[in-house]
Amino acid sequence: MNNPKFRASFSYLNLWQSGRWEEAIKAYFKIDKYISRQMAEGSDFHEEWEKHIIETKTLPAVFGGTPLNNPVCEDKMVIPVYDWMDLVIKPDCIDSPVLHEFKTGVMSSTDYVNSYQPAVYAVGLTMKGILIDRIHIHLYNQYAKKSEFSMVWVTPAMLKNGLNFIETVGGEMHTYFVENNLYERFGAKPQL
Amino acid sequence: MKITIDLDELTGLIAEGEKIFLKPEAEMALLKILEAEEAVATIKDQAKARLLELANELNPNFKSLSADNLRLTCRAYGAKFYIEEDKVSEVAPELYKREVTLEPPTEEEVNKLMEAGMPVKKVARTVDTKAVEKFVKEHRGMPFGIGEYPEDKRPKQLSFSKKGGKDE
Repeated sequence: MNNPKFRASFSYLNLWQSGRWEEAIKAYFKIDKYISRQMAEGSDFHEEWEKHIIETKTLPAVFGGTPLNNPVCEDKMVIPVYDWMDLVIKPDCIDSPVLHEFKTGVMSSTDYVNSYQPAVYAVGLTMKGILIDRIHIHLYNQYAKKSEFSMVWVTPAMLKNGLNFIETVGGEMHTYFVENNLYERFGAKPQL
Repeated sequence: MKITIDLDELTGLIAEGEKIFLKPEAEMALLKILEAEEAVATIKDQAKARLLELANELNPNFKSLSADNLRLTCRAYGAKFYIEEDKVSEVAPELYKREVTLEPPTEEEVNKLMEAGMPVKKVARTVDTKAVEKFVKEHRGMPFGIGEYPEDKRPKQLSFSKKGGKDE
């Protein structure tokens, strides 16, 4: 039997790499889907900001209201990486050569910069042929009503590390799913 | 401006010990290190100030920038919070520490405080070095109750500087 293609996303890979295997499996196969209040608030903010950007072609006021050139928002992309894996990304706002990512909550924007998320998105966009040379992380802490901004350059080293992360962790997950018949048990396709 | 430092030469001089004091080349080598250190410190400060300007122009909420081998982080220093003085009686006491600075008490006052049962944690007395040195010079002897630590028991640190410059 041909195994289904593994659909990697940063959130699944990150859970698996952090040792939260059960959560990763539940998230991947959409078992016991739980949405916290913070997640719901984050979604609401993202919707509001996407609408603002489409209507005004500027960043949301909490992030400075800077004019954008040709913003493209919330476009989910499925990018073939290998014959056994696709990469799924959903960039918040591409305004080439900048990718703008919006975050909410109490974490620092530096935490996102230090995670693999920028690298995963950079890999996906590069493979898709979309030019970005930097990623702007805009964070809004809705509790303290404060904003933060961090930036990360997209470099060959960053792309190499990102692809290595996707291959290694994605490979582990896919192998585990195959060896433990999880695709058959929970349904072949993840509901992304 | 170019500064050339021969680290191998300096390492050799250090290994030979006494030549640090005897060879003129040793003095030049040390001076070059000082000049380079000063120049690098100045350039680093200028770079930081300019980068902070640029970061604020890019985005007033700038927090960090990550590149392959470098990370820039902007941190605020100093007190983050303050107490509104007109509301101080209503502020939860566990949220702040109170520190009261008094005029230095006399020995009599310290004794009275301890006799009265005040929880005196520590009484620190620091000799006024210049006042004692002046006393010794004027009276040709040590004042009563003050001792002097032997020179060979006090820790030492070598410093060197350009003539006319500040000690490193």
